[in-house]
Amino acid sequence: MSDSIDLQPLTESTYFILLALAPGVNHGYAIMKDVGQLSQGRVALSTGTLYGALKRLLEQGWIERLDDPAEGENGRERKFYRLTQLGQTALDGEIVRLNGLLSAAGSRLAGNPAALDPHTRSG
Amino acid sequence: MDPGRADLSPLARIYAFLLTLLPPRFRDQFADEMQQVFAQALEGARQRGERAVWALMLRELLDLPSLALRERRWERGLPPYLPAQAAQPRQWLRRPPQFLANLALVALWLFLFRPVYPYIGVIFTRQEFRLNQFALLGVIGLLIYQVRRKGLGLRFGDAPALHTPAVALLLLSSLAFILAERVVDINTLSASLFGLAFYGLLGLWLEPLRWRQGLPAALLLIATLPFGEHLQTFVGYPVRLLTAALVRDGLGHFGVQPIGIDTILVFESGVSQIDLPCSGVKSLWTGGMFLLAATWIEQRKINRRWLLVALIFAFLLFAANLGRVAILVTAGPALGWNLLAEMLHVPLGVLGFAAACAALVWMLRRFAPAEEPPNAAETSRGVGALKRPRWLLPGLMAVILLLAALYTPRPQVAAAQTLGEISFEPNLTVEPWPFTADELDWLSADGPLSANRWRFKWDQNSSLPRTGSLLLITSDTWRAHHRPERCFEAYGLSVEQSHSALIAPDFPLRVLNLSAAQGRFQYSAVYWLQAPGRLTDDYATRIWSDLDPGHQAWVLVTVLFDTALDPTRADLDEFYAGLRQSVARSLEGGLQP
Repeated sequence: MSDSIDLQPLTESTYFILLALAPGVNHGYAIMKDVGQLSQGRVALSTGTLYGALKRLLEQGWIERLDDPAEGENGRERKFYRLTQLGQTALDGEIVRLNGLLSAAGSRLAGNPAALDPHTRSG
Repeated sequence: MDPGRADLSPLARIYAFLLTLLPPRFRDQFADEMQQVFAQALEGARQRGERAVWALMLRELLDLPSLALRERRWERGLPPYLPAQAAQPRQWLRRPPQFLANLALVALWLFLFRPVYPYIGVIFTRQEFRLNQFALLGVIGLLIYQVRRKGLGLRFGDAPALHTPAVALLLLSSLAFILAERVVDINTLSASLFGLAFYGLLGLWLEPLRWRQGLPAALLLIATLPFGEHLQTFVGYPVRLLTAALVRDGLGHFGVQPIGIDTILVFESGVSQIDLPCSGVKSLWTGGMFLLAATWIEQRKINRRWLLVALIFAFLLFAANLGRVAILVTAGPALGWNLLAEMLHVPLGVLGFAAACAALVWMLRRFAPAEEPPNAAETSRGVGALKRPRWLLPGLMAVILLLAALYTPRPQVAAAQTLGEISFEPNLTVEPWPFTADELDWLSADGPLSANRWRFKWDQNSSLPRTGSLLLITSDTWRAHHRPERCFEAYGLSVEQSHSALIAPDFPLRVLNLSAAQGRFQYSAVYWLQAPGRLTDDYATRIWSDLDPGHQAWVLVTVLFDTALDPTRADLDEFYAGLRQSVARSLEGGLQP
């Protein structure tokens, strides 16, 4: 488990997974659906990609995996995931980084607000 | 049973099957959850329509193999992402001199064991070793199953490590191979030593923990060699004799009328199927394989406790066979219910074997300690924990080179000892009966010095001429002397009875009663084995004679009469004596006076 935060920019999948967990605990399928909604359908996680990412986040100590006290369907034990303090810090850091990128673009293009609208920039 | 599995749809089953591609640790941690999530995603897609289902399946099926690859690389400490890894060659490829040095060691070792390869080819292609081929397929199936269940997880070092058990196994097996080739010349032994030395060689690079865990699997593969035949030959008769004596005494104790050992032996071999591995001595071989497989699957340590369990298991197999023979003899010779005895012999053999195996599994679980799962420290030490001194590889190469230089096959007997110029007695008329091409191929496979066949007519007093065929096989190795019983069986004859007879104090004969076409035709045959100054009808004596430094050529003399007769009747004594003299004259030195 890592004690420090990796300062590398997050991948889009990781960012949306952390974002999906930001409000509280969530199950695997709910995370998958949330990521689809948060990304407006652009990021469609497969089960494999989701669990590959969850495993890596668990190893980094950014999320934790907990037993659901209420058993799932068919008697199977369900798990849910929750952001750790470290994960929250990482997510906050990424949001700050993205905000920084956005404000840099905003300040440079302040004289031309339309330039910030991708719909108007595409030619 | 997992209640969730019962209602899996076919697509979910496919997905569950594909999850086996994932490395074991990942699977243990997430597979159940992934199945649940997939099932939920599938349900959601179904509600959106068929196209959504196909899109989901396509995404999942394409994604899973790449996840499996990524995770396997991750567990091996390699970069997980394909573009990055594609640019990085394997570690051993980044050090070509080391790789080439490793290759040279392996090549030298392969060269040392070169005499074994044709034999291994024969074992796993020829029809008479079908049982061994099935055993090999079974073991390979088990290996695949275990690899799928637990993953291969092999990690190799760059350079050979000073892994003492592996180095010792490699060197001792190689040395034993040189001695075995020179002294005993038993192919199965040489091939076994090849297998052991190979496993030792593998241990120079393989992670020690994995190497230790894989030892039962390696022994299991080696055990597919035809050990059953050798057990039958070397210990079969003494074990049968002991069994018969114990059954006689045991039944006598319970008031069953006295039954002779010979009666028990003849009856037991009459109803038993010799090739059935669940009865008699062959059960020791199949039992040994079961023991190794169970040890491997149950992940038990091979230590003193394990050895004790193995000994108890061997005793149980013997006891099961003892019980089987006792019941058969009680039903057959004692009570006269021969048909019942014939019906019972296979089920009893199978039951006894299965019961002994069940007891073994219980004992292994109860008494033999399990291999402890590797702890984090042990896993992280892995291949890096051992010393890899620079001198090891050249040192091993030097030793193997020395052994290769010391290799000498058994010396061949001079051609003068062949039977090319045999002269028969005047009363024996012979006419050469050439072998067919197939027969010659089969006979030549094990390298006899000569093989000759004749039709004969023995006409001593003209009142009752005897006709038949005569086969003489000369060889300086026991392997070319196939048991005549097996040869007759290969020609479709059944061996009804086989016993020894003494026609002179120094002249034992093996007498066979044969039948064909379900008993409609009856024949008689005799055989003996003859060397300068020696004569025996005991196959084991022939085999053990090859250990004698004064190595001799032997002739296997087989006479098959055209009819059923009593081969021990006095008027044939002169026929046998004349044949014996002819063979003796043709062998170098002849019979000692």
